[in-house]
Parts: sequence; structure tokens; C-alpha cells
Amino acid sequence: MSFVRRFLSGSRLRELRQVLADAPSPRSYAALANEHARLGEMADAERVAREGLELYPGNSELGRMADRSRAIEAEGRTRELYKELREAPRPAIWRELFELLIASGRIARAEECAQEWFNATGDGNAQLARAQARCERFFIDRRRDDAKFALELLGAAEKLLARDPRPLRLKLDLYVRVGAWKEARRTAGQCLELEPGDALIEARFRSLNAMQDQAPGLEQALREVEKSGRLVDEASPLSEASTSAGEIRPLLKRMCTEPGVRAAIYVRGATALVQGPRGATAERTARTVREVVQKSRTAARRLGLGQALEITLEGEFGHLHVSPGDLGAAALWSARPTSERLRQELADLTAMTASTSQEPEA
Amino acid sequence: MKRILEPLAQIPGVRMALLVAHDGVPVMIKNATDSVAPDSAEAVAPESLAALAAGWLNELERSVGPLSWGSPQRVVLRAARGSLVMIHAPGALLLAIVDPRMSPDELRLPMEAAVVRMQRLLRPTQEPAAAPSVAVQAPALPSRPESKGRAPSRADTSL
Repeated sequence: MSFVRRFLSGSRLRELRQVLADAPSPRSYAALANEHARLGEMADAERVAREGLELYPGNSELGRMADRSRAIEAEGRTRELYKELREAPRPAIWRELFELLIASGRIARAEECAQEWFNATGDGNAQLARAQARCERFFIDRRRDDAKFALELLGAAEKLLARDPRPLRLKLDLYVRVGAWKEARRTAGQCLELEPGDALIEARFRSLNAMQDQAPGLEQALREVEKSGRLVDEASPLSEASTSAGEIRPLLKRMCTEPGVRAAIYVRGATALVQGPRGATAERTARTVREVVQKSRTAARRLGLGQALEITLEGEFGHLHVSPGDLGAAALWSARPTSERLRQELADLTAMTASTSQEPEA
Repeated sequence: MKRILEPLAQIPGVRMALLVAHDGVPVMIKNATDSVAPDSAEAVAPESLAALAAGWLNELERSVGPLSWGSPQRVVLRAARGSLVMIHAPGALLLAIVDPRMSPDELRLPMEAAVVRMQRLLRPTQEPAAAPSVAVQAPALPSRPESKGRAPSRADTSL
């Protein structure tokens, strides 16, 4: 940057800081953060945005700026670390790169990094990093195979890192989140052998002791997670506050008036709202949609495609378009292809029901 | 068959094109050369992918069965890390895995064209095979020895 530009931007920064001091507002914080970002000072941009967020929590612009600044900063550091690895690879660099990739949600890259690290050094920490990446992948995708592979890696890491509680703690976390209480209890016991007197683990051990009687086996628990897409510590859609049928029904009714639409359906747990077909046909239609959503969610995870966002079936029966959400799913059965507008409305409907259910928790 | 999948695999955004038997056995797999899967570590083996996709279609058929709906001719599963598009081809299923940034609708025409090419490719081999099968069809009842003259009617039969 030339001297003149630096001088001008310096005066602009001073000006914006003064504005912020005189009249603090989300806009003035955003303007200062933006100026730092323009100058390439991402750490400062993030700091200003976070400071603004403390005063104005929930401001979307400041939140976006903070996240973006951090991401850009992380990208820059990632590039530096990759360069350093090419020149002089060593465990500390791999570790930092791995942590950075995990923090930025690039799980596959993180796992590749851990694999390279392990191949180069055979270090137990690298094996643990591989297991951690695979666990993260499982917590995102809920694929049974990922969990099994993560447990295999954790077993290998345990052997390499004798008397290190980290693999056991990670294993315990995995078992608890899938609801494999028997295995979790056993692992908590092993943790206590390594760290006797840890109050948290002791409390966990006691609660697991009480839960293990009716516990499913590990395989069954993993199968259930893959099928439902929900970990045990996540609330079930039925236990959360439900959006009233009065809010959804008019939307379904309106969709049903569109030309060619035969049925508009919303399913959530065992509850279903159907506009169009009546009586037994309505019940069958809702059941079909529920099954299609369930099977497709499982298929998407097993195919390695992640969370299912949209499902479309076309045939002699017409077109069935399903928009699965976190809590429920909305579907439209029509004679002709579903228009982009209706698809968006379906997605909005599932998003709306998810957000209204989360409101009471906030 | 390679020539049928080649144009599909070359479309930007298509990760893989497969021709799969209805029981999930892959007939032909074509990986895109220029497309890199974003999660290469998580990539499912093509053979597993074929079996899982065919299994999923079977499950969907069972799910829509109670409504007396026939088998879906085209199925699209759009997900966070990509989409699966599947259509019925003659005696098989044509599958494509595409990147998340690509709309599955963009594949509608190329995939239908691929199916038409398959049908065209199979037609010359199917027709001669179909004709004799009708001609040599065995009668349900044992036939009488061929009579040279007019077949005797019930009225002509004398006891």
C-alpha cells in the first residue's frame, strides 16, 4: 500500500473511531469493522465486530462481518501453514492446521491433514486427530459407518497414547451422544481408572449406572441414530413446542388451490396435515410422505451426501416434491412439475416451523 | 455403453455417472475427470453407491405402493454435499451424482437423451431376438399331426 493511501486510510480510521465513540450504533461498528477489513486487518475487523455484538447481540450484519473476518483470517493462516508444511513439515504445524480446519468446519480437509500427519510420523496424537475428525463427521452426517470407523481409530489411538485420557473422553462422548449407555458406562469406568477423583466423570458414571439396564447395544443405537437423524442429546420434534396447525393449514390450503396441485401435506412426527385428499386416502398419503422422508434422509447420509434438502419423485402418478426440515416435512403432490415459487414456499414452510419451535428456547 | 455415459460425465458439475442394474449391480461407472468431490475422504465407493441407490429406489417403490402409484420414473435427492439424480433406463437405472452448486434440473435433458441413445443402441439387437421368440412359442396343448387337407370340423366327424 502506498504511503498516500495509508495516510488517507489512517485518517479515515480515526474519523470512524471518533464517530463510534460519539454515537455507538450497529452501523458505526460495522463501518469501522468494514474499514479494517478493507485494509486487510482481519483480526481488527473481527475484534470490532465482536465488540459491537456484545452491545447489540443478534445484529445480523455484525455477526456476518465477524464470521467472515474470522474465515478470511483463517484462510490466510491456512495458506501459510500449508506453505510451511511443504518446506519443513513438523507435528506442531500439522496440529495447528488440523485445529484451524476443524474450527472452520472443513472436516474432510482436517481428516486428510491428520492422515498425512499420521503417515509422516505415526504419532498417537495424529491418530487421535483422525478419530476426532471422523467423530465430527459423524456428528454432522450421523452415518453409522463413520461412528464405527471413529471408534476403530480411537482404539488405535488408545494403544499409541497409553494412559492418556483424551481418546477415552472422546469415546465416552460418542457413546453418550448415541445412547449406548452400557459402553459409555464401561468407558467412564476406564476414565476414572486413569483420572480417579474427577468429579464430572464420577457424576457421569453414576448416572450411566442407572441408565444401563434398558440400554440398546451399540449397533442398535447407531442404527437408530442413522434412521432418525437425531442424536440422543437432541430434543425430539414432538417434545418441542409445536407450531399450531392454524398457522400451517392456511398455507397448505392456498398451495392446494394452485393449478395442477392434488395434495399439500405437512408431516411432523406422528402428526400430519393434509389438504386435498380426504379420509383414508389422506392418511395413506401422509404415511407415504413420512416414509419417503425417512428413507431419503437415511439414504442421503449413507450415500455420503449429507443432510437431505429436497426430494422429488416423478412418474405416472405425477410429481411429488418434498422439502424435509429439521422438525417436519412439507410436500406437494401435483400433476405437473412443481414450480420454483412453490418449491420455495415449501422450503419456507419447513423453515418457519423450525424457527417458531426454537423461539421459546431463545 | 461408454459412449452413452461419456457425455454425461463431461458436464461440468457431474461427479459421477453410473448405469446400474435394478438389483444394484453396477453395469458401467464413469467418473468425471475434472470434478473433484469436496469431501474426497468421505467419497462412497461407486459399487456401494450403486447398491445403496437401487436399494433406496426399492424402498421408495414400497412406500408409494399403498397409493397405487407406479414406480417413480425419475427421482432426485438434493442434499447438503451434492445431489443424486436417477432415472429408469431400458433394463437398468441411470444415475448421476452432481455437485451441490449444480441444479439437478440441468441434468434432465442430458439424462433423457442418454436413455434415448440407449434405446436406439439396443433396438437392433432386441428386434431379431424378439421375432423368433414369438414364432417358436410352444403351444399350450399338444398339436395334432399336420393334415394336408382342410381340418375336419365337428360336423364331418363320423362315428
